[in-house]
Amino acid sequence: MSSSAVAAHAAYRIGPRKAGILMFIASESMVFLAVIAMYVTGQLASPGHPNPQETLSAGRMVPFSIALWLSSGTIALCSVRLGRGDQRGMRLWLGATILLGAVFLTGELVEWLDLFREQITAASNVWSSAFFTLTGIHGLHVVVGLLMMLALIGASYRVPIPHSGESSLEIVSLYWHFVDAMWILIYGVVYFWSAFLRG
Amino acid sequence: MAGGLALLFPGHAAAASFWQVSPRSPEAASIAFLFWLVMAVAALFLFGVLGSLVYIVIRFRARPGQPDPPPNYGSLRLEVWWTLIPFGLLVVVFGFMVREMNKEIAPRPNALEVTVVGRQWWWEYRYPGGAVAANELHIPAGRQIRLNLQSGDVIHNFWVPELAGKEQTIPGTTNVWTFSAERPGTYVGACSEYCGGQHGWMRLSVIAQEPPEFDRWLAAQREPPASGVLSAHASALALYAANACGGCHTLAGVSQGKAGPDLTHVGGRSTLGAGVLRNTPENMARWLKDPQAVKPGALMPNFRLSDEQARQMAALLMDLK
Amino acid sequence: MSAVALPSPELAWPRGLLAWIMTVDHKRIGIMYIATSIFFFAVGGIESILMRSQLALPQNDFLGPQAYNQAFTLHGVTMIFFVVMPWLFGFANFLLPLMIGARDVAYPRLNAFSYWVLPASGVFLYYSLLGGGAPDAGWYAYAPLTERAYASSNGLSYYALALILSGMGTIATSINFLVTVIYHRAPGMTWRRLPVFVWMMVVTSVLSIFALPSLTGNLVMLLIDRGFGGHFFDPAGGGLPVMWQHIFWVFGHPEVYIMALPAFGFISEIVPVFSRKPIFGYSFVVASGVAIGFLSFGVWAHHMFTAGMPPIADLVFSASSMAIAIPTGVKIFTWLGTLYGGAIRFHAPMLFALAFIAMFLLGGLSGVTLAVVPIDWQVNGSYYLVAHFHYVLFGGTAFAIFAAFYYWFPKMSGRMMSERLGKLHFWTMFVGFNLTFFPMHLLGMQGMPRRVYTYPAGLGWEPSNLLATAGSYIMFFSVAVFLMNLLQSIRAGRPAGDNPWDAWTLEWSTPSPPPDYNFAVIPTVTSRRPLWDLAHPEDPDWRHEHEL
Repeated sequence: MSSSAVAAHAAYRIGPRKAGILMFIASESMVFLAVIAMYVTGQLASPGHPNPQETLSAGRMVPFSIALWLSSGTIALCSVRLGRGDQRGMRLWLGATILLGAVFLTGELVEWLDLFREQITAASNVWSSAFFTLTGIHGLHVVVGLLMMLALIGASYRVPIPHSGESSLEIVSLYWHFVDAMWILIYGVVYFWSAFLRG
Repeated sequence: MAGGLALLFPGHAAAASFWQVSPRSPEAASIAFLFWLVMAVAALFLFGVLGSLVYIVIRFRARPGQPDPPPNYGSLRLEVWWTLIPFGLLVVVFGFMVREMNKEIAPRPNALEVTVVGRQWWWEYRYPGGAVAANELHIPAGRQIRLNLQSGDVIHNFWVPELAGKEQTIPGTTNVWTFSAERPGTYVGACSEYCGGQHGWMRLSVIAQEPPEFDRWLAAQREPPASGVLSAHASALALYAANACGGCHTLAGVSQGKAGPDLTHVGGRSTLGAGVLRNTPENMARWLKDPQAVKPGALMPNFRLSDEQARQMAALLMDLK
Repeated sequence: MSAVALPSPELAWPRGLLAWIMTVDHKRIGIMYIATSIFFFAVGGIESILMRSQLALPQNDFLGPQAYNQAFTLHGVTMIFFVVMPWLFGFANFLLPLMIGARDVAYPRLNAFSYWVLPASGVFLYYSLLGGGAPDAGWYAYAPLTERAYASSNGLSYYALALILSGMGTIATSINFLVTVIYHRAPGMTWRRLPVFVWMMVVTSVLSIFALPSLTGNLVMLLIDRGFGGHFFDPAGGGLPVMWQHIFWVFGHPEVYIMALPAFGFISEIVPVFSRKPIFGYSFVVASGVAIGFLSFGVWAHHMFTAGMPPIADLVFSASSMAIAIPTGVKIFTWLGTLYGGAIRFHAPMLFALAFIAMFLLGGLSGVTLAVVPIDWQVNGSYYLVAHFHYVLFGGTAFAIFAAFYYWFPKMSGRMMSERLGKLHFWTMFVGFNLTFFPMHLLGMQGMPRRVYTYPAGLGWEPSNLLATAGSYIMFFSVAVFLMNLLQSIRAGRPAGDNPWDAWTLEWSTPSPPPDYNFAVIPTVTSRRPLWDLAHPEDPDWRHEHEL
């Protein structure tokens, strides 16, 4: 592209790469919303057995959720470190983010294993189908995020990550904030509303 | 019988089939009114715009060597008018629609409730008092009918154009649909939501009768087969048991089955297989011999009856009026 | 005022077939999309000929129910996902960067990936024919007919996976287009100077980003029901079949506008050029497209008026569906306003464009009748509906696609298509189409349901069905004429030159076909009709455009 177009880009607060990832996030949100809609209407229509009121513990998931939400803070600190020109500090905070994300996944895994132990699978009823699908899709998104962060750490050794709104770190951060925000929604609907409030 | 007449005299059925022209119920009449109103508005636009298009294309066709005409970038005034006028017309249409819909929703006393269960690929009707029929819905003319629409498997859609619009039968829930037939007659309909292989042959008819005649019919439907009918077909009954027909079919006094149509009064129906065959002894035997050849994919398997066995069974079933 | 000239580097780029396979050039990718669409158009057309042959006579035995039901399902899925959408997106791929003065789209490699997803998913879908049976539940596949209990072959699993895959390509392309238009416009190409087609693609891309994922979510849930014993749509496990309908149509309705808006864009480019006047009311054309985009997310349940929703829901969706007719009507009036006072030339692109206006109008009006709930109660699920959507999707979008084809083929190939064969194509397709689909309004009004593999004699349905079948054979012939024209013109069409139609948008300032880098010098744009300004420095458009 022409140099005048490049110059024009620098004037944007949201550059093309950021815009691209935001659009991608918008589309992924709709996938989640479709399954959440199914979860909520399924709950309202027919609680049945198994159900979240008897099966899920809203409290137990809190520490794991807090780990995930804290990881949004740690990934933000990566940008701060980059602003000081500190690649190593950025890598450390990325590592912390990955660790917190892994803690969350562990909690999710424990939750799933507990359900399997009680013979509850996606094939039990509409609630369990929706629960496993929703948390499963979210978990997949977490895994992808963690892999991207690992790749970012590796890449930063070859070419230092610039401190710019269009850097790979910014893109991955936005994606990660989306994953965390989606968990606010999912935790709210699944654990807080259907398990706790309706229990 | 009236249903048979409709099938024997196709001209009659064809002439009566434009519900917009000859609706046979208050509900269909209300929809027909809306239909013509909206058609009038649509025709106005269609001919207005098409007429303008033809005029413009002729008047402003390019002459040889004609230079580019002066540009016209737009007109705010025109934009406003040609937004407001359609908007106004649609508001009027919407108003009429709300009025007609309120009429249709209003319940009437003394409605007859029938539960309709859509199944692949036939219709089950359950009347108050225990009578069960299939594919031909007998109703008293002049009285409001409340259908409780249910499904035994997938989504179907109950539609009798001359009497009413349509409504889905959705498994796991009940949709309520009301209509009435102004006068006696046979009104044909069909399933109109694709429901699998034989959706094409999931036809139905509504047979509206004078109330006393309907009452007689309903009373007879509640009765088991007349004494002597079953004893006159002992060998057929033996076949019935040997082939476990009762596993799917109900025959009052003989078997209780859920999957297939109730056979207690099957001889009195005018069609078989939800419209695929007219109900005659020959066709009944043909169906029994190989249902898959008549309606491929139908859920009744081929029992490999011999011609004689099929004939005997058909004789029994035709006597179950 | 100045732009920077970029040298054209000598690359050791592969030649021949490998060049096409490895390309990341938006122009070649666009042509590949279009070629793929034409292939699937032939396949989908054969499916429709098979269906119409079966329905020519009552109780015909040309196709049994299994074959027929797979045919109509494949026909719908093919035409929507493997013909219309890729054909439109293919044109957009070719045109968008040229129209905005860019050298390519924002993410050329993502662009190539998005293309290859298409034939892969198409092959995957059709592999079902060998893998135990094609899907046979219709293109919108209502649950619970799609559960294993009722659909035991793997066809529906192929369907779900193929559409999840092709959806990814559509979403990626849409993001690519949006980023391209937002960030890669040439100097002076403000939003208010964008060609209408570019605006329509912007709205279409936004719609795709929000609509396609709803389908993806639905299909994932269906696959979990089918593959893992889930109960999303299975009432026995507390599932809700009606939710499949809701979530599907949240995708499905914006989807039809994804198929309509680019067509509106084509017509808005072609009608002005062949009337020799700029488009009438540019701002309103654009605004109505944006309005349609917004409203399209608020009308989905008009596909569900017979599903037993509460009356208030029926009323709300009826109102929104009527409302969306208004901006659509504005566009039609706009095209009339453009034609009025023009110097109209009847080359093939214009013939198709004029027919588009007439037939989209008819289809749109039958759509308004469907927005009236009680009327929908009568004609939903019948041939009236089949007539409606073919009028808007074929009489509308497909005719617009052919208009675009005759218009931009010279730019893409450097050659003109035969005007004589083009006119033959047009008239046979116009007559054949109307003969096929107009009688279907009557059939629906007479009570003929859709998706029936046969029908009884004696209900008065025979004449219309026979007419429709005859019309479909004429359409088949017209497509053959088009293909002949295409093949002949590729080899031996008259050289086109840069601007055979004397049009005014940027793509016509390049050679035909354009070089890899599109523009030797990125132009600076001063109005909506840059080439007019260059040709008429005494009266440039930018003096007048503030007016509307």
